[in-house]
Amino acid sequence: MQMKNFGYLFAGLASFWAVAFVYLWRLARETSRLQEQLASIEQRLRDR
Amino acid sequence: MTVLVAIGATASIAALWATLFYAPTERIMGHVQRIFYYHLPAALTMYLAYGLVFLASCMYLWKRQERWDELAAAAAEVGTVFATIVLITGPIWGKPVWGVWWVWDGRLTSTLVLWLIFVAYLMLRNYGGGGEQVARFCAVLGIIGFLDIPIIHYSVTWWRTLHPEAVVMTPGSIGRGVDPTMLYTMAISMVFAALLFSLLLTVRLRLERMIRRTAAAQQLVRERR
Repeated sequence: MQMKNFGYLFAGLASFWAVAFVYLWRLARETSRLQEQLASIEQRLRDR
Repeated sequence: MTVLVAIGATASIAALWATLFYAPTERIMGHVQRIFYYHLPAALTMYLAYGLVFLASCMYLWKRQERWDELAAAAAEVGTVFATIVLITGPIWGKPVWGVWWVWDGRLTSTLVLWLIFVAYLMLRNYGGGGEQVARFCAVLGIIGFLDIPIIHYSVTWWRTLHPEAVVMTPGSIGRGVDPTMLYTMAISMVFAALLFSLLLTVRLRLERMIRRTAAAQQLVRERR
């Protein structure tokens, strides 16, 4: 593969993957945080 | 969900392989043109996401059912992720081809305006305090934002500047004059983008329901105090 403008190609494809992965990671982190929060609220409601 | 992830992962590998090794090198732009196989599917997925926002917002204003508001909220966020990808990959492709990162061209400017409208939409959702009024405002903003899509789409025909006119989807034909291997690569990338969108939307929709359930549970705890 000829290397001319390869840096731009790499940056273009990498930025696509980076944005998608960061967003997916953020969703996963937020989901697990809310699961914990919801479990704790449900526990508090059951304890009363 | 597992099936969707497995198919999506396979499609992502196929799209990357086709982009780097199967598609021919474009004669004038060289290898940097391969960004096209990620840039265009991201743009079409952005159209699809904001189309869903439009549909869900209209349905919410008509029926006032919370599920339409949930769908609009999830699709708006995922659409903004794809809009961000479009606004990043475009200038990276444009710099070696046009010699500049950005020009205030009709297509680029209208896409930036769309992105700003939906950033405002997401800020309203996150900091507006929730409730029926915010949902109604967001539905109206989502509809207004969607009206920018036809402007973006036809901007390259109405105002001829730097951004090229459509080559794959032209009125009356799809891919006329384009190398078939380029079209097949584009088709694989489109399938990949559609699967990625489905995955992100499913996860985000699930999260949106969880956010609302948590808020309702917190409200219940406060009321029982």
